[in-house]
Amino acid sequence: MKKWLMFGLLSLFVFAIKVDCEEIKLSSWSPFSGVSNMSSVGNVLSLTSTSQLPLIQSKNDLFINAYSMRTLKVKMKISNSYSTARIFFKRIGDRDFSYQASIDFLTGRGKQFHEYTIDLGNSSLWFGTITQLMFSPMSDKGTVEIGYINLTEPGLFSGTRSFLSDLFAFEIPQLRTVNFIYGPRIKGVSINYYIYALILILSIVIIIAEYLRTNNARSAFMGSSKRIIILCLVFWIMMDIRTLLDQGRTVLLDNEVFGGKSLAEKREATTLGDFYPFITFCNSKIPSGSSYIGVFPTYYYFAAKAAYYLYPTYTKENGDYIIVYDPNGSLAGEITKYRAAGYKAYASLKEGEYILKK
Amino acid sequence: MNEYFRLLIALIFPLIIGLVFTSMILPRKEQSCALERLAVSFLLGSGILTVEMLLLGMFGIRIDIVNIVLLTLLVILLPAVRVVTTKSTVLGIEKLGPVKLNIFDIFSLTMITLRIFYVVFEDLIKPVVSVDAFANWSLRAKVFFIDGGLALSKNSAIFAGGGQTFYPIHIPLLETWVFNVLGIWDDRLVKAIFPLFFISLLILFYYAVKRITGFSFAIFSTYLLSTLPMLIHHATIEYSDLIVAIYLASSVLFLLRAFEEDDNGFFYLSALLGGIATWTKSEGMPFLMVNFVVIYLFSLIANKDNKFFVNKVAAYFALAMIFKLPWSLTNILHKIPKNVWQKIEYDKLFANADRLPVIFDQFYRKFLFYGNWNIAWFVLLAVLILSFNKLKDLKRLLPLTVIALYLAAFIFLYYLTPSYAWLLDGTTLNRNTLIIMPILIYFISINLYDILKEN
Repeated sequence: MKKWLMFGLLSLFVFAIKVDCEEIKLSSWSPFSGVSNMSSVGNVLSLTSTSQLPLIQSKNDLFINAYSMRTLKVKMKISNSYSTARIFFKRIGDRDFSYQASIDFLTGRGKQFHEYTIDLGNSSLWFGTITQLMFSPMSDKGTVEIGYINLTEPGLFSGTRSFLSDLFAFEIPQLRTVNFIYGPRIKGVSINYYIYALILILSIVIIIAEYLRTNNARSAFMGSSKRIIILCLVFWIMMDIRTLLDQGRTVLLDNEVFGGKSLAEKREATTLGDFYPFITFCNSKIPSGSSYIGVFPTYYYFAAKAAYYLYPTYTKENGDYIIVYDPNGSLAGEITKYRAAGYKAYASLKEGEYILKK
Repeated sequence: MNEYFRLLIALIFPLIIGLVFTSMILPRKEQSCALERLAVSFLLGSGILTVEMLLLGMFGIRIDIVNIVLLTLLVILLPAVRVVTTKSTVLGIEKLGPVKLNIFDIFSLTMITLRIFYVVFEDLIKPVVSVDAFANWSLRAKVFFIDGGLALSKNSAIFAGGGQTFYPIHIPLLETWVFNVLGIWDDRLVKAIFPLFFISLLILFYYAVKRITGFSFAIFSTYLLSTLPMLIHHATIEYSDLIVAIYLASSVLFLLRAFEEDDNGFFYLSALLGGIATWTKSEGMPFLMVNFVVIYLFSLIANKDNKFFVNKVAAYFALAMIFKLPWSLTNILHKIPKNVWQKIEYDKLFANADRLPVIFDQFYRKFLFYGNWNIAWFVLLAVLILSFNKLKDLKRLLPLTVIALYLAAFIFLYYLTPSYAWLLDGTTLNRNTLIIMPILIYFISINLYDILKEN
């Protein structure tokens, strides 16, 4: 009997998955911007991201009913771990793509295929007829391989999978984490809302049940307190296990990035772009204890990092050296001013990264 | 391997300083057990060590190992003689007896162990990463180490070590000490001090709760403390917010214990730890004032006379100022610019009224609907409702007063100072909230214990 029951449940499970698989296979993607080397081998679309928002677009005559097709499934492999992907959509009447009509999701560990399930219905603008999609597979430079991008009808498990995908999305520690941690967000709303609602509803049920048992409001309230507290603690522990999962992922990620590396390599890995090798270059060329003027991009991070790594070489008005870190070539005006004041080429690491001397 | 041995020496040294003073303050074995003594010794010893270094710097004496060790010997001489002559307990080993762990104990211990592993790993796998860490704390430590002084001369390449020069320099100097023992500037190994602070917090918290609830619930409560994501994250980065929180929390916990056990030793310890909080971050001072209110409240409830209150506050303040005064003097003598962000704007008392709804809105969102504090604030509300009729009890009332006054201090800070800007851009509220959290979890724990026990 038990075996038949198990078999029945298994069949139901398989059927449910089958129901979940009514889908539209999206093909014919073309590069839009920030993408190079796009090619298709077999069923895999390969491309190289050359910007922080690489974009590929679908045909512009999709005419998909947003109500019936709202689950996006993407199978892809990207070179970088834990980046952010984004799907943009355009409806009949929309002239352009916009961030409002888009949904982002966090990607998993790099260099391996993952299937992502995104509930596009989470966007308040996902309605009507969708004419075109645009997809940004990552938010960094790197390589991408896309197995498929499919749109699926909401099935028995698509909502669940979307929920689980939200629940277990990895909030990778960043510089801003020192100030706040978002925590899991389901359909864009903090999971704490759901937990508080559940605790409140269940607490009311507990108190009512206790009242029916004792027929005394005060003792019903007091008698329920232990169960309510246990309920709170259960959710507290569940949330903590969820946090522990992210901490475990952080350990794996950091071990991947920093494990077995020298201190200099670790410092390089914690510094934006190729700034650290340039600072190391400056340290080797400028006599220790000299003064410098830094010409860096306006983000204060670079000046602070340079002061930190270069000391006892220090920053000073009218310093002996000008250290120029201009990867985007946007500081030409400032550099010209210093050249006019008599600073001349002293040492160069590469284009946009060099030292001038009085 | 040599560098790890040196690191060990660097970490043990403040522990020894602290042990001498702790043994003098708590001479009897039954006052405190070994682990607790070690934890408080690290906190106290590191504070004493850095004040010594500050004094060396103030008098223009080179800050190096020889001078630090010589001054330390001088400082601990009298307490050490007293400890030896009075045969005070240095480390009383707790008789554990047969311990039978239940499934919850094993779960709590496992989770705490995992957290400690996480903190140690994250601290030691990478060098300093966060912006404030390298632009302030770590930069100053590097400057002090390379210069062998506090760079207070007007000719210094980076005056006072750079960064926000009004920040107290307990943490930079502790790092400078570690660099001195290591013999090199290594901004990865130096982070080993942060797990020690974190572990000290867990130990002190555990013993504070254990006195009220016993082993199992204390372990569980300590686990609850270790579940706060923001607190754990701050144990892995090189910021001072958690460190000041640890000093303030241990100061409050020892103050409560001093009243409970009528033991002046814990009272002095509380004052010293509170003093080090003021030497760790500028915020330490206003939050230390909260302890004065707690002392006043206790003397009121315990029907003590005004003389008791005045004497206690005077003694408390004098001890705390041992740590604050040298830095304040340094600021005056060397004209270190004041912290403009904490300048109180009394003239805007009414004009800033529109800030209040914003402040409360931020509290509501950040405490309840972010991933910073798990669901601790919601549980606090539940506990307040379910334990409402017992809140007059002194062991509940005092920590609750501390929580309320800390919140009031935040409101004051954001209402009347330019720090409001940091509230709006989301940079400081959670970091400030770290100060409340250990006491908040302590309050929750002792109430949870009673609710679960009684029903």
